[in-house]
Amino acid sequence: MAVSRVDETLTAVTTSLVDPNNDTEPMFLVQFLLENKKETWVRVRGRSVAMRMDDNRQTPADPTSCIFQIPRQVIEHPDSCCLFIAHMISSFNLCASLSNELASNIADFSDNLVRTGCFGFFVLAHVKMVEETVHVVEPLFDPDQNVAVSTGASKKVLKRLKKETFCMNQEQSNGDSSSGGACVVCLEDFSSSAKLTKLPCSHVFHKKCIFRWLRNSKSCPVCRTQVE
Amino acid sequence: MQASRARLLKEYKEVQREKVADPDIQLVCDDSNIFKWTALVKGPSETPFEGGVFQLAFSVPEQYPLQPPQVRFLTKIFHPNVHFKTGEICLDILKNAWSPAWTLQSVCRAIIALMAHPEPDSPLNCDSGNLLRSGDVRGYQSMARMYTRLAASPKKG
Repeated sequence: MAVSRVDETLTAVTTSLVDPNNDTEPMFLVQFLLENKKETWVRVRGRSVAMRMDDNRQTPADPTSCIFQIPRQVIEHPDSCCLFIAHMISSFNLCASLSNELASNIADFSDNLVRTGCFGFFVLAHVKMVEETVHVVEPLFDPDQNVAVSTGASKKVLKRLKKETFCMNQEQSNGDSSSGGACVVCLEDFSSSAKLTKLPCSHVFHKKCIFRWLRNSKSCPVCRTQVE
Repeated sequence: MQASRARLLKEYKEVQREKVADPDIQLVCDDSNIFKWTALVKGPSETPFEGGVFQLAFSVPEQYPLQPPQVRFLTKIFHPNVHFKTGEICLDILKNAWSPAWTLQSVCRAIIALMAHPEPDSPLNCDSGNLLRSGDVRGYQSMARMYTRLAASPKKG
């Protein structure tokens, strides 16, 4: 298994449990819990943000654990404590550097607990070995261009619509009566000289008015028909 | 002249001409600022808002009519789609379904329609929305009617 990340959580409770072999001595217990996890992430190329795709409520596969007691004489010496813990978790076959690092962290943590003056403690060391699978997807637009996703009509459509531009008098000579009236964007009547544009749904607007609107929208202001 | 200003002047003239046409809406422009408008709308009949007169405040953006005006209730109203404290209105045409074919006058008509047909599934006022969603129409109506009486009824005398 290719481990891409190790998550380590140390929690502790202080206890008043005594050593069954010597009832004046406190007990220092450590539970080492090792869990292998798989995570699936999706990242958009060129972006640092990734999104978790799998269900993290799934129960983890076969955690393994061991509980051991740290002897009183060992806990008082952080260095030997570290070696002792490394020895106790050697059965998990972790790589040496990781094993040493975890042992050292647990030893430091235990040492701090002892210094607070507690009688005994129970430390839970929860270690998750996470295998990450990252799927990289292509962005919908080029992130290097630094342009926000446009909600407007595409250039291709705008270009095609430009050809649908005409003047009122020209339109009348064609005998088309669907125009006339006013432009709903500016509410001005269509004058004979104004340039007009007809959308595929046959609604007519001033050219400059409808092109301003289509910069941010793809639909006809009157009937919401999509222009593309 | 700015396109938004020209369009608002057009609407202003239209409102002056149509004043008698829609007795339920009275739309007035601020004396000194054409981007600020106030409307008085009558609560629709056969709703808990009947008999009330509700004041709306319009704030029109520079990009109008490419962008919708901001509208909120100045009169307190108990309605699922109106924020009880701020008067903010949740209405699609004031957000992503906006089109420049709407005018301030027709927005008022849309708000009157919203008063008569609340959408309890997108509530800004959860108490009001929950009453309707749980089927307690009577509870909703009596609350709404109480607030209409308290806040929206023209004072007599």
